[in-house]
Amino acid sequence: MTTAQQKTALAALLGATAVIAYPFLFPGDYLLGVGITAGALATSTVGVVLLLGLAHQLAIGQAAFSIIGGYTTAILCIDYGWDPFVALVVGAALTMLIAWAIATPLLKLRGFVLVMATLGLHLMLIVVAYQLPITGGAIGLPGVPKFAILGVMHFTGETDYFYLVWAIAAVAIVIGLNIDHSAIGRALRALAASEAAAASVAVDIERYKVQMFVIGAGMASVSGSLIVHYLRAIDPTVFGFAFSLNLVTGTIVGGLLSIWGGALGAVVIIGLREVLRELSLPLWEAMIMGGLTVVILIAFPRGIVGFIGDLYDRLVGARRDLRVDVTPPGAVPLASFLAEDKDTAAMLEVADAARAFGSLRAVDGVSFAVAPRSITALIGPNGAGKTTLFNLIGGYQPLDSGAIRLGGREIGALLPKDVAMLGVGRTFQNIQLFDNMTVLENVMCGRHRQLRAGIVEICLRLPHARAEERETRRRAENALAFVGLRGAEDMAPTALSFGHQRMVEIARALTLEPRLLLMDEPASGLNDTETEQLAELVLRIAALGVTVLLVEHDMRLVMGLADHVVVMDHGEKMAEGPSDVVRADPRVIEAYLGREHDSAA
Amino acid sequence: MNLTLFLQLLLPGITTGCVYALVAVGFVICANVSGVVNLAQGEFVMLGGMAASWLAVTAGWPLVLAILGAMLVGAALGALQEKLTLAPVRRAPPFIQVTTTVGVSIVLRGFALVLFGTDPLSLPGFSGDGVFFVGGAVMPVQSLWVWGMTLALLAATFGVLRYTDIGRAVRACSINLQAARLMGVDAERLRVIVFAVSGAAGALAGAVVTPIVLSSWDAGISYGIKGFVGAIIGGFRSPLLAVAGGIGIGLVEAFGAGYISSGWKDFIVYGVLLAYLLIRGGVFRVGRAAFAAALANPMR
Repeated sequence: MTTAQQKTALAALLGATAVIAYPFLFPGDYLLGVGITAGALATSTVGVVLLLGLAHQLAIGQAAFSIIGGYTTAILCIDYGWDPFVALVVGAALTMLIAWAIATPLLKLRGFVLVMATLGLHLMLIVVAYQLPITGGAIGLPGVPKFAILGVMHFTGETDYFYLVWAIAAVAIVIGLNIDHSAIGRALRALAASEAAAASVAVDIERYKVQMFVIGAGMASVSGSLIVHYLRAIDPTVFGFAFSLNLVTGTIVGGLLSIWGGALGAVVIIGLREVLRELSLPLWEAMIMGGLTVVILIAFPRGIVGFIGDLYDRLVGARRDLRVDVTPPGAVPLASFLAEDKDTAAMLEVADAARAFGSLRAVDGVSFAVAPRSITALIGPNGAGKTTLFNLIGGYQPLDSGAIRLGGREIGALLPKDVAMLGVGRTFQNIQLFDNMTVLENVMCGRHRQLRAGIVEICLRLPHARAEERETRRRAENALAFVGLRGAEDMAPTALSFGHQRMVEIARALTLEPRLLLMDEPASGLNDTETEQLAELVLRIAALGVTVLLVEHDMRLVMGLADHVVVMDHGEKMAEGPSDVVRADPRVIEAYLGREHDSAA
Repeated sequence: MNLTLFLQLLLPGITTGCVYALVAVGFVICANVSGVVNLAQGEFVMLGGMAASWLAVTAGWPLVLAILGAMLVGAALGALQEKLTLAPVRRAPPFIQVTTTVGVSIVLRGFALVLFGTDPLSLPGFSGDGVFFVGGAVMPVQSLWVWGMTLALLAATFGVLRYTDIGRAVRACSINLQAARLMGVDAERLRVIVFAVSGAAGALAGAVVTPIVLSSWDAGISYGIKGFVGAIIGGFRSPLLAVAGGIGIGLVEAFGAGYISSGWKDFIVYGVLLAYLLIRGGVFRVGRAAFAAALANPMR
């Protein structure tokens, strides 16, 4: 069992014990009500973790969705006599439908703009609740029945309802954990760490953002329904601005980056409120929670749960040094992480590509072709336009004119993630690993292109999703072994040497099962031994049938490796051919070394 | 169209719009020197109103002193916010920085709640609670104070920005923070000054409108959001456009309330905000520019 699994098991055990014991420790309707509120809130805060902590979407008007769920429940139960459970499900479905409809345009907004937009949405809904006849205006809707499920189970006692609410919170926690530990969790953390690298492994960020938004909305809706059944009434002040803020501050204090942090945050905020009430200081709640939030953001961004986690690591000694075992080449079956039967080769064709920045023509009408299964190098002095051309191929910058074709297909207009989706892997000049994940998770991120499990399968950890996860792990482990880093799986990327970090990046790109591998100055920052290992690795990669295109400064590396060399200078192609021919070309020598016997111009 | 009704909506709309305009200018200037959108901006208006009322009415200070006191409170809190909460997270991801300002806004709300309680506070008009008539529309005399103070503050702001060293430094920072630093602009000190001044200006605005609209601990968020609309209309670049945006929102609010429904007033204003944000959304869309930036600067 890894330490992460130990922690999850321990948290689940502690949480379950606390919930089961609570009614015995704190009997009486009032204190049970406090527990019920905390449980209902925890369902919401798990959604906040998914949205804020994982997807980094600053949507802080979550109570808007509690309004929709709460009022739907109240109206259906009071006016139409529906079963509360059915009303809760219908309310959640309606909320998620609305959330889905608004998510795509709304999530185009970023950062503080999204904060304001979601707050605006929430305040608009409060006005609606005040104004519409069906929502009962300022008085609201009294007379909501107690909770029941399909007329079979009735939750008349507070203890029964307490357990039900926490059972539902547990379901939310499990769904949250499943997402967090899935490819979606990795994708969103990848995005937070490096947008460019996330796109390089075909992570479809927009889709995951929308999914987290919709799931978070559903959780807020269920939470709203549960609270309404406890209060037996709803009015526009129940899910007000303060409610939204409580969800956010509670989650931050509990631990924004952990599902458990969300649940704990709900308990902390409700607990604090009760303590202040006992002390007759109810007005202090906002100030204390706000203050705690600021202090935690500054001093301990991972919140209480992060603090406890570190403490656990220290006590159990989880941070012991891990040995990296450099595997001899050939010990790993080559095809164990690449597709075995597919034609992995591809032909890249750059035709008259051009890109200007203002009046600077960084790439000015360059054409060349990369033969299948070859190693092609793109060289040239600083400022020759190599990296720009590279970014054009990867989709990181748009073409002004010309065309780029992969296996005959035009890819010049595609975005990075779509280029990656076609099987173009890449590494970066300045290494871009995801520092918020382990080495193995980094490499696992490469497999997004092949993943098919749907969001429901992932939320519920259905067999298909599980099998896919196992397969991803197996292939990532093999890729790590292939680059010679067996044993580094659970390390943080930052704990590795620079050379090893580059290997991890290559392993990640290989897990993509690339037809074409783009390497941007792979030898930069490496020492001589590391450069030799790199060269050997590139040859092994090419031997697998992967076409390699690299931009490089290190002429020794290029001349030893490349079948074909393209030389650029001032944005134009200056020469092209087999490496020994290019090396002898006087124009190339001039561009690199300057003109011999330079006569005064 | 009924001219009296029109004026009766237009003039108060301009009055509240003035406050939104000042908040908007605060947003723009703070964002440009610190790189953070200070979501606590509206709370300074609220605190200014509360502090002035409390000092003048409860503590019995002379009005001028009470207003100066409120401005001092605003300046001190603004400087403290920058020094204590924003400076430590300067290197944190933007996401954490924005959330920190949300935390500060909650603290300020809580602070007002603890200090002044839940009841709204009021303040007598600076030159009495009289009214005057414009084309049949009735206006409190205090409106003149609001307009005059807004004009004075805006004139001072633009004057400082244009003609003083500090103003030039602020403008330099807003064009290129890195370059400004290299030219010897002490960005840290400048931020503290700008936050203090914008805190004081917000507090002054709050004090001046309180005789008309009262002041309550939970009013800051509405000032904040509406001022934000003004700022975003100016694209967070131009203080002048921000002023226009702020007054525009005040007018939308007033005419929405008058011609459509006062109950739906906020719905209309926030609806306009949302519609505007979504239409302008293209500006903030994840695009290739973001990727290019990430490639150029891996240390983000």
